[in-house]
Amino acid sequence: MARSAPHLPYRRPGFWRRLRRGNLSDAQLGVLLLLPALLTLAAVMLYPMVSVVWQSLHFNRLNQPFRGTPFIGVQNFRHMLGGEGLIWSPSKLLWLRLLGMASLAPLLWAARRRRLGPVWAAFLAAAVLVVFAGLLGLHPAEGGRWGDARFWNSFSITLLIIVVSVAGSFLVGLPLALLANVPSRLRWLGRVSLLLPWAMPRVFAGLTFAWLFQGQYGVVNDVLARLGIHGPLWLARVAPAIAAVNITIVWKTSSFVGLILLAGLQSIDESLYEAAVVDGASAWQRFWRITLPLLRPSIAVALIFRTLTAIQTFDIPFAMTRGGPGRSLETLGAYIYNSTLALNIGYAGALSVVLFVLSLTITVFYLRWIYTE
Amino acid sequence: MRRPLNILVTLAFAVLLASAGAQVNLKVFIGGQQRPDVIGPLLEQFNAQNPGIHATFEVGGATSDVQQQYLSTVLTSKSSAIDVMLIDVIRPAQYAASGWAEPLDGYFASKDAEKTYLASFLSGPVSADTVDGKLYAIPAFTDAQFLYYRKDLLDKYGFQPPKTWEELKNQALTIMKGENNPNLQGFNYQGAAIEGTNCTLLEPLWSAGGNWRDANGNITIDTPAGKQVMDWYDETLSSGITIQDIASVATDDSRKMFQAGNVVFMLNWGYAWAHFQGNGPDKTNVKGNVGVAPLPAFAGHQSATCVGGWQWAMNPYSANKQDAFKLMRFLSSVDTERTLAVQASNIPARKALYKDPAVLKAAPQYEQFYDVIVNARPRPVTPLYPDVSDLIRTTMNAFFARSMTGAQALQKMQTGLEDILSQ
Amino acid sequence: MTSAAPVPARRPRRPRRGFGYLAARLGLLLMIVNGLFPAVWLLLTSLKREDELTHIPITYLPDHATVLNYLEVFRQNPFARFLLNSAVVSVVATLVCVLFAALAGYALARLQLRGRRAILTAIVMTSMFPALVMLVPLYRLFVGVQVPGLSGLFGYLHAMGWGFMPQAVTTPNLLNTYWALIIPYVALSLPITTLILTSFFQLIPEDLEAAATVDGATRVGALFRVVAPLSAPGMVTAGIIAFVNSWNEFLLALTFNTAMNMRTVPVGITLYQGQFAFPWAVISAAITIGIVPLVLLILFFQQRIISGLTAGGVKG
Repeated sequence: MARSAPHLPYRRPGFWRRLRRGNLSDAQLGVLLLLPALLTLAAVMLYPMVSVVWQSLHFNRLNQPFRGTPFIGVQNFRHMLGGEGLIWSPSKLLWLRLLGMASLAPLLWAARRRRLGPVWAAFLAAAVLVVFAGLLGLHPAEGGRWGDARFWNSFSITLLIIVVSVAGSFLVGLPLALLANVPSRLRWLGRVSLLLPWAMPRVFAGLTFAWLFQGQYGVVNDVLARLGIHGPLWLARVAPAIAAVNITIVWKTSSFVGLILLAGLQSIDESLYEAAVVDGASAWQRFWRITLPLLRPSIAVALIFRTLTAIQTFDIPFAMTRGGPGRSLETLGAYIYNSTLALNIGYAGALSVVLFVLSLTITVFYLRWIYTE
Repeated sequence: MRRPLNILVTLAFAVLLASAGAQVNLKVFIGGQQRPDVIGPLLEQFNAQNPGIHATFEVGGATSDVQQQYLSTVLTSKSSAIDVMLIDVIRPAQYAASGWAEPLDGYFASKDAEKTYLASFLSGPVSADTVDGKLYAIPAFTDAQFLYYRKDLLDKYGFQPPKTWEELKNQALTIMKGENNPNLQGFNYQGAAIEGTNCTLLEPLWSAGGNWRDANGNITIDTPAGKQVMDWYDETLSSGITIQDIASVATDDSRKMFQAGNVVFMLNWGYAWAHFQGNGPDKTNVKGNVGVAPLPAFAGHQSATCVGGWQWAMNPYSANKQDAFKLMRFLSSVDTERTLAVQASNIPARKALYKDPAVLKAAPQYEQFYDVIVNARPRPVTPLYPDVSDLIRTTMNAFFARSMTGAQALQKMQTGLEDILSQ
Repeated sequence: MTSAAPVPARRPRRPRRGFGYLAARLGLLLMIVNGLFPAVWLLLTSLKREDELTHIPITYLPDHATVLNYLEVFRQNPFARFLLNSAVVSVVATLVCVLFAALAGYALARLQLRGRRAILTAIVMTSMFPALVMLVPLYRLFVGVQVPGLSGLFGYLHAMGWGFMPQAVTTPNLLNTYWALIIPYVALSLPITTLILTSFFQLIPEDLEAAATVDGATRVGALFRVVAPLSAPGMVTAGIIAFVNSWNEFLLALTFNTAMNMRTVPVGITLYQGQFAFPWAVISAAITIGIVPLVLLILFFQQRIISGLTAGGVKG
């Protein structure tokens, strides 16, 4: 009867030992790495976000405390989006709703069947929304109302700014990024000029451009006059004001987009280009086949944040025209600001929730795009 | 686990001991543009006169809206960080309704004492500070919109300051034609969507014998008086005495244009005078050639102007209300207001100071100002003022931008105000 | 990696002196004008006297150049202190933010985690509310709010007779400290920096890490030695974005740090305004002073660090 060492079953080393050895499972390492970021965000943002959503479900006018802050559920949203104060006939309204759903349906179907890429689907959906917002929000007198006319007005101008400024910032930003990568002795100056527009505080960019677009002593009209063109009254008429604001926003944000795209460009391995040149690819082919696809993640990142900031646009239109001639440039962000200043914070919360839902929808869409690679 | 507790407890003891025999700390909130360099020494003076109280000040943003945002954040959080604050003349009603200003009636010795005290102030600011019969703030200094005019140009053509709007238009047209200067504007005012544009509507409306609301609480904007106002503004634009992009002109834009010598008549606030006389960073082309007059009126009616200025209010969550009130009385006392008038060019809210030799020596124009200020009326005193102001100024802005006719603007304001006030 | 012909170090647009070359140079010139003209305008304005600004016809170059405005900037307010405050807050916030974002980005890009997309969405979600509506809750948070649960527990224990227990547990009052701004700024910049770094980490081929692990490095070691240098453009960009966001942030800086010696640059710049009067000359000078450190810093990082790191990067 020989005594042998007792057989101990293999026991996996504990968590801390494995941590020291750098040998954790994916999930455990993941949690550890994500913890600082998630903790910070939760500590700072969770309470405010919940607070805002909670606020949106109540009636809360600070200057009418005698009315209390009763829980009103989705009343704020109903007031905003429709169902109250209908002056349009119910049948006309029904037709509009059916039309809206009908036009979105094929889009959804196509996107599900992957006939339509997510970008196209998003674009067309946005187009449909713009048309609708136009029908609902920009009608001439506020006699016809579906929900809060001021909300629909701010929604439509916000959509306009989103479409124009996002497209514009990419159309301008991509060439800027490409140019900033061209080897040249002035490249450092190019990179500085890429960065400067975005580095300037938004409010002051707005005020500077308001100054530049001034009718009396503004640079733009002066330059136009020297070219023999009689410039419009930029900030004193609706259409020129909208144009001036969009120009300013595109100017400022194209540098943000350019910055991100530049980083993407710098990550592209040159050997790919060298190989392509050897294979006889032209410059355009190199751009289309190598640069753009490899830029896709940067484009996605820039697109997401560009859109998120476009949805919240407030500083620049406000600094330039304080809401534009009348309310034509009162964006969603400006409406929230005005509601807060008017001490109607329940409604401001509701508007923020709508803004949030809009942003979330778009982001989910975009993120799908990044992670499908 | 034990150590943090110990530290907490020790700290708690320390705080208790510290506050046992400590002085009272008062914090005064003023905006960046309220001359902290003048307020500082005044507070030092107060501290010297009142041992046991230590008052300091906190400087906020430079504009009324930025300060409002900050104060509303602090007051919504029921913080007692601030004791006394300087608020815009349009705010007392909102603050009273939101419970952000302490009613001050109880702090006076008696009702009569309060009445005599308030009688020494101009009536415009006091009526802005009185909401539902209760006093919520004490005037610090006041302001109003004046009709600035080019004395030299009017003298050249032998004109006296106009008494009616029609007269103003004719004088402006004559001068513009005579001077033959393409950059000369006849009549300049504010048309941008700023707070001051409320006055652009209200002043002519009052001078037409109308008001935004009548004694029974009905909105009276879409009335013949209102129509008169809109027609008048249409005339200013069609006759050419006002520039076409008036919708983008804000207060300081007006001031700059006049200061460059390009305007004959202008409606603007009191701060502009000092700039015109060269007491500002800009060069002035109009020094010594500026006159100030009450606003014109429509024939057969009285001139009126908007009251401006700032008021001292008390935080209802303050921990030292009695001392805060003492501080407020000091800050609105005759001596303090005299100092503010002389050193900070603030137009006094006290009637007596308009005859005070020291004040008149430093600012002789106040004598002229008095005739205008005595007729200054407050903008709508209602807790819903932010909505009211927002509606009026955006509608007027749209009207000046020619997106709306005068009739449409009147109708929009009428229905909009009815909606707002029916809530 | 050798190449047959001498190919210049970087770009697909080789500087052949043809149309492409000229077009690129012209484009570069236009871009420089586009980016710089408002800055140059601001600079010129800051050198003018105030009255020249409303001169008709407008003057471009100052008639009498003066540095008076710059002196005014420092005379009227402790602007140097504002610069210091902004610098401290921005630098710390950037470093912390990029670190956290890099860790999170790596986890989301490389590790097989369930709900990756959901976590990323959740992170980005925090930037979807306008800062304005979150101002009051954030203010309450930093003034000192009772921690739910914990505070209730302590209160209960206190009432039960454990007198030495504090009655409530509140978050500390952080107003008018650097932390009042650093912590929110980290949270505000985390979404975008995490997103950038996630996508950049995804770009790096997996085999590089595998090779490093085979060579004996641990997972975490691979992260630092192989992945980080290759993601340099992303890291630097994320840092730049976090820095500029923190430097230019206005609302929280206005509300939280109200003492004059704790103000930051954007808020400080608005202090030069009057209620109506907007002295463009002095404010242009202040903005110029506020932007210069930003630009210098970023220039430095863009040039040195990227070229330094990617030049020595692993290839093939």
